[in-house]
Amino acid sequence: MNPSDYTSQVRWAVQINGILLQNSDTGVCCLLKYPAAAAWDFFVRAYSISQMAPMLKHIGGFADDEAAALFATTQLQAWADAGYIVRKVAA
Amino acid sequence: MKPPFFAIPVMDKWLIHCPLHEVTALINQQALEEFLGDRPTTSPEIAELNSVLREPPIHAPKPKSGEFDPQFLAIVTTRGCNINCVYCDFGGPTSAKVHMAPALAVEAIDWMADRLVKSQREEFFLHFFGGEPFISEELVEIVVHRTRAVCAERGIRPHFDVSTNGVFNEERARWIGDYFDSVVLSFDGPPEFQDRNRPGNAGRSTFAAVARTAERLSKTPIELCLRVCVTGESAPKMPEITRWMATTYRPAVINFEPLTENDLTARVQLPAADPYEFARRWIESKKIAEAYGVRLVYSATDSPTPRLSSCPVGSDTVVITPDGSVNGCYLQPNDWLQHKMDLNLGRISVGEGIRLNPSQVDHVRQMIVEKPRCAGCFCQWSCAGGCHVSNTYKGCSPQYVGFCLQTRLLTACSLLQELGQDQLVNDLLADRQAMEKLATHSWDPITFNQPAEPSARCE
Repeated sequence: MNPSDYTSQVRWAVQINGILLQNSDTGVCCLLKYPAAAAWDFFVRAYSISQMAPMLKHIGGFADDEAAALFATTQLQAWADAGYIVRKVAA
Repeated sequence: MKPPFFAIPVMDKWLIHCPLHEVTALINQQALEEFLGDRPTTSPEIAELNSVLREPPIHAPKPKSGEFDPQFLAIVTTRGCNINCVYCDFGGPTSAKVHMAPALAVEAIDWMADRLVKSQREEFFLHFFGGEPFISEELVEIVVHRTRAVCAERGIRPHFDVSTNGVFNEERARWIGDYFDSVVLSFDGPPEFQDRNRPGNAGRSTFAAVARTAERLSKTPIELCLRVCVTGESAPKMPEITRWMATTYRPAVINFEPLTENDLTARVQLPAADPYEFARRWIESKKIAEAYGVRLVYSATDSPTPRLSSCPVGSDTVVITPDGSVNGCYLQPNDWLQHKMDLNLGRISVGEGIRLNPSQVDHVRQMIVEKPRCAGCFCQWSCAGGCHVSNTYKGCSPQYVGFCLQTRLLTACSLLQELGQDQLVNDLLADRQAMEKLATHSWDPITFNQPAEPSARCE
């Protein structure tokens, strides 16, 4: 899963304990806690999984880059499934 | 015990300043003599003043003791920098761009969080310093997110602030706006000063980049402080700079600090401001800043309560440097060693956390107590000697230097303004002789006949 293929579909705001996502259509909110909050920050700034992984490793205390990369990929998939992010439409 | 009572000459009057008792008064020569007990008094005001000052003081600052108790964690991400300030005594232009290892920073964050939980604190203050912290982009992001993660887990509120040169792109400014609480942006004013003092590589202008950053940050919720290093060239323009900054960037704070002359400034013939002009222009600028709702500060006078140090030294500050040193000061070890000081508190290493050297901690805590240059000065409970390394190091001359003169003037003016004596401040600043008399007055402490022995009323 490539983050640059996706775009955010929600409003978001940095909160003390994570990042708050709000569905623009339904108004439903969801608080992303850490380390998912850091992954969201990296996603919205178009970091690739390979850029995110070594940073997430330190933030989330993952054993290695692979574990952090797996976490980021799983998160992206979960956000896509929940409709927080959508695949970009080809021009 | 340092003296608690002071009398400072202000034109034909005396400013009585007793910071530990929170008492300040303006009296004439006759009243001073009555106040000191040198002649009998019939004045109920003088009798009351005497009586109040014989009470134990409200404040009694003492050097720290007991368990090491840091107020904030400072991370020097790198000593390297992306610009070439001509006066930089932090080694920015010449230091290698070596970044702190993320694992080391994580170790420091976790250590600090443990301390905060243990001491039941609810806030985690983290300060980024350099070099230029944002040339260590990845590290800053890791530190911010790791700290936020640890704080969220432990129910602590994180606060991030940074001292930066502002030479970075729009995306970085936006990110700072999202995650930081306050930014101290070094910005020396219009291009004639900014580019003279703070040029980029190969002498390129930094003005446009820093001005853009200031503008972008001013549109975010962070507390923006514009820090101006005032030189002999820019001092006359302080009021204009204040008005321009206040209207253009709407900062919360403008911080004017005078240039400290060093070998580097001598090389480029950059003069320090005349202390009398600095004080005069600072007061003028303060009025302008206030009119725009901006707070004007000068670090040596900016203390709500009496203190023994106006810098991190002696306050159990933890400054982590890229090589894993844990220091009590932001400056480089060479700067301390020059003055035979050791401000290293210990080391940090991955897997072992921070190991402090208790005797060094104690040594640094005690270092701030005795300051021969400050012995006769009424600012010893507020300025407290300024920078311990470059201004009031052991063996420095006991005479006041330019920094002392402007600090004495600004402190006195601030006290007079608190007393509603704005006209007297104007008169003082218009009279060079009176300014010199106040600024160079070598012994301010006073004692009463049969003085009460002060002891703390409360800590």
